Amino acid sequence: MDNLTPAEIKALKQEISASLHCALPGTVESFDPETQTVSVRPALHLSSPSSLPLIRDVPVFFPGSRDSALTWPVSAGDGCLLVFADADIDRWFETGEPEGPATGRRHSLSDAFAFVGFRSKVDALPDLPAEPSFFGLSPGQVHHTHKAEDITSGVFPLERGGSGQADTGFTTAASEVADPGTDCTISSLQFAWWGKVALLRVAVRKRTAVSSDVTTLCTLLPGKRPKYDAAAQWNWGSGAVVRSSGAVQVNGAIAADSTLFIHSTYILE
Amino acid sequence: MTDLNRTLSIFADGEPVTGFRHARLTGRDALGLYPMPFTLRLWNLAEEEYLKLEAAKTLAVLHGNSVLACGTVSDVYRKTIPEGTLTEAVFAAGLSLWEAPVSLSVEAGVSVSETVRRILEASGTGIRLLSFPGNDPVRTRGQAFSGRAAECVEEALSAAGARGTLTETGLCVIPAEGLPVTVTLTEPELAGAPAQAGKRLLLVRTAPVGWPLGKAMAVKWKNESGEGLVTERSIDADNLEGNWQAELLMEIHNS
Repeated sequence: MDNLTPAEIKALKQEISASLHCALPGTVESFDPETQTVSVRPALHLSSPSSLPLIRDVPVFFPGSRDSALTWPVSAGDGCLLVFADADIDRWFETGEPEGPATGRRHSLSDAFAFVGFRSKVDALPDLPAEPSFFGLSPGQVHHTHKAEDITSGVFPLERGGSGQADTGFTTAASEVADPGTDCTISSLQFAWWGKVALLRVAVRKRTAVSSDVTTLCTLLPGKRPKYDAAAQWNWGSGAVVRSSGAVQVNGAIAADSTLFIHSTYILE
Repeated sequence: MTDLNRTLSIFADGEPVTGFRHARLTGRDALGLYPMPFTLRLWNLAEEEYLKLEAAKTLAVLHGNSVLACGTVSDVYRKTIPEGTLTEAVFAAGLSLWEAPVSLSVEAGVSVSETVRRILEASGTGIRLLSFPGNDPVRTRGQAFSGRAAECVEEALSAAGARGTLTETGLCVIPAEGLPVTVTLTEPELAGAPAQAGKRLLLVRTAPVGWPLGKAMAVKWKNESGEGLVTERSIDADNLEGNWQAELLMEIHNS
């Protein structure tokens, strides 16, 4: 370094920093729920070359632990933050075990992780609630509190080793109802299960205040590959490990003060 | 080392450069795709030959039929000295690949060799992959390449534990396990015993020809011998005066 001029040192620093990737904003182009990876188009254009390439097979961050996770739908157009690992993550991604890197690459575009949910100013969430929101997981139970005056908190009573049926009701509020007669979404009904499941069927039904009729009219946005059947139920196969949460999207008009029931039939190993 | 035949032949874009009396070639080259420059100095080069050199994109310096150095011209300049003029041309193999920017996304399930082919194609340099001996693993995840094409090729090759080197005809891949020995140097071809430091062996040759950079080579001297890969070479050759220096650095695999 002693022999380098200040201009050469500056050029050297630029050369090194240009090839060392740390973090970039990006836009999701596609999501693979099977591998829980996204393809991302970097949202910054660096000087050379002018545009960065599509980055494929990027693991998505869903917060959680080994036996639980908080998931949400990921779609094309979602904003995200890409963070680049120190070394090649291919072998780790295949096995989950600590292994030596498959290549000598460092801070490469190929070794990104995605934090979905980062937004630019133009995509900022409208009407961000000022009220506190809480979502918690504990073994066999899910706790959710959101705008306490609107929706009652729910505890999903699944115990490890238990079996039976359970209904957990949530009362909708006027603010949750879209224009009556049209589709609406109640995305704040969060739920989760974990444990090794021998059988778990889930359906979301509603009971109106004036009628005891039970109508199945929901769309479950799955976190862990459940199979949907014609009866609007999601079936997990025997032996499946369910560690996921999801959101309920209700298609159809719901009157205020209706009660939505998440109905489950389950046997946990 | 003194070579009785000191002739240096110079070709600019394939055309012979003449009109000089004194020429000197110095430089160092190494296995890999980082372009290491050679410098050709020509004293009192005729004006029309200087213009030819200045306009040239490629330069090659030969000794007999052996290519001592060739590559893309990066700089040609001339200065006045007491004896007349001194023209200096700086050139390097692989400069075009080094300077070519690429931005490329490769899907999962593609082999290393195919990845390298795609990077070379995206570079627009016309450099092609000559062969891919040895392990050619298929990548399980997608890859994204951005930046200098040469560095992208090296990154891709590292998945096979391989390295690359450029020749006049294209990119040669040197697999991790090495290649069969194709060259043997014996004592009469060496200027003294090789100097060994760990797994590296420095050889000084008696003639600056036949440099198999990236090829496996066997060396025999006195009661010792070794096999390895030539990873570096250097030259200092003057067509009029001084000793010629021709050094090879070998990575020893067994000795």
